[in-house]
Amino acid sequence: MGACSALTMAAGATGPLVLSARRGRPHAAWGRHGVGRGTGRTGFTRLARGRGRGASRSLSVAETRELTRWKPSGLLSIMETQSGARSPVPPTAEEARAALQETERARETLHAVTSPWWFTLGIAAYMATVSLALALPAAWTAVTCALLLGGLVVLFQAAKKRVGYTERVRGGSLVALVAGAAVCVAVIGAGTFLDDSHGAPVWFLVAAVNVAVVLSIDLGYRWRARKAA
Amino acid sequence: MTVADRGEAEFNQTIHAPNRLRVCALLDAVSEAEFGTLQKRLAVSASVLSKHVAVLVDAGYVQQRRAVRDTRQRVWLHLTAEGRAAYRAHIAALREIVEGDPAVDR
Repeated sequence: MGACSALTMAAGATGPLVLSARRGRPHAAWGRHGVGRGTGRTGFTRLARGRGRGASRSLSVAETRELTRWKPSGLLSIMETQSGARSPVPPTAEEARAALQETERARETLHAVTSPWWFTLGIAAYMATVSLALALPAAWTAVTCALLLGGLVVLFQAAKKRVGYTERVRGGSLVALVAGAAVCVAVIGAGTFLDDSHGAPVWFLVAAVNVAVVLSIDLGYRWRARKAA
Repeated sequence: MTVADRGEAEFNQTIHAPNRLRVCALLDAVSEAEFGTLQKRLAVSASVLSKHVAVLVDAGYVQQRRAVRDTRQRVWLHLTAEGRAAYRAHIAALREIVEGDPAVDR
């Protein structure tokens, strides 16, 4: 990589990095971009030394060729490690393994976040109310479910804002949610059959089972969070 | 159609930077995440995260959405379809590199 391209990259990545020219030669008036605390001012570290503080001198052609090995080279290596851009060399197996492990670690940090307790209680209350609403006449059931659905949307939005993300449900979480939903639907179906023979109290049992399912799934999430933390 | 769109392995220099890889890993696991949440989970400064997110946005891998909460503007981020495909292709490429390592066979 030529000195100019290296400097161009460095300038593009960090901001001011000056290479002035005099008599057709690169001039050693370039340096590192340092940020003054609180002021945002930049400072320059002179690399060509020996003629007094702040002095600059012209570089020989040989020195110019070595520019990339000097401080900008160090800066670039740090920046490229951080940016990963422009490096034509693919990672070694060890680096690739480390990168994969890093992605796993990053994902696991999400698992350490639990939903707020009021969200769990809200979902449990929703399931209980829907179950009990099924004991009402059909028209009232429809109205109640419509109102509850609106409440559920508000609840999810509030939880999303509180937690700061919405998880894509897949893998173990998807299995747990699908299994839980299947149990809830099966219990409601059973309640519909038993309603004829046992009457309205069946729906209290259905509500209790559905709440238990919701709490079980939530406990599973919290156990996962504790494990990840 | 790119290699990533076809679901094949493709090493991606833009994504491979450590912090950007972690950003993509987190965003791949979620539908949408708030900037502050990402910052907290990744334990990086706002300026560092902002810089890396800007690169991903410029590449078309991440989209931003601004929303007001508690009178303050919050930025929500999500991977685009292209970004998700590129990230998965990159992960597949990393796995191929690891699996191609003779040390794995031993």
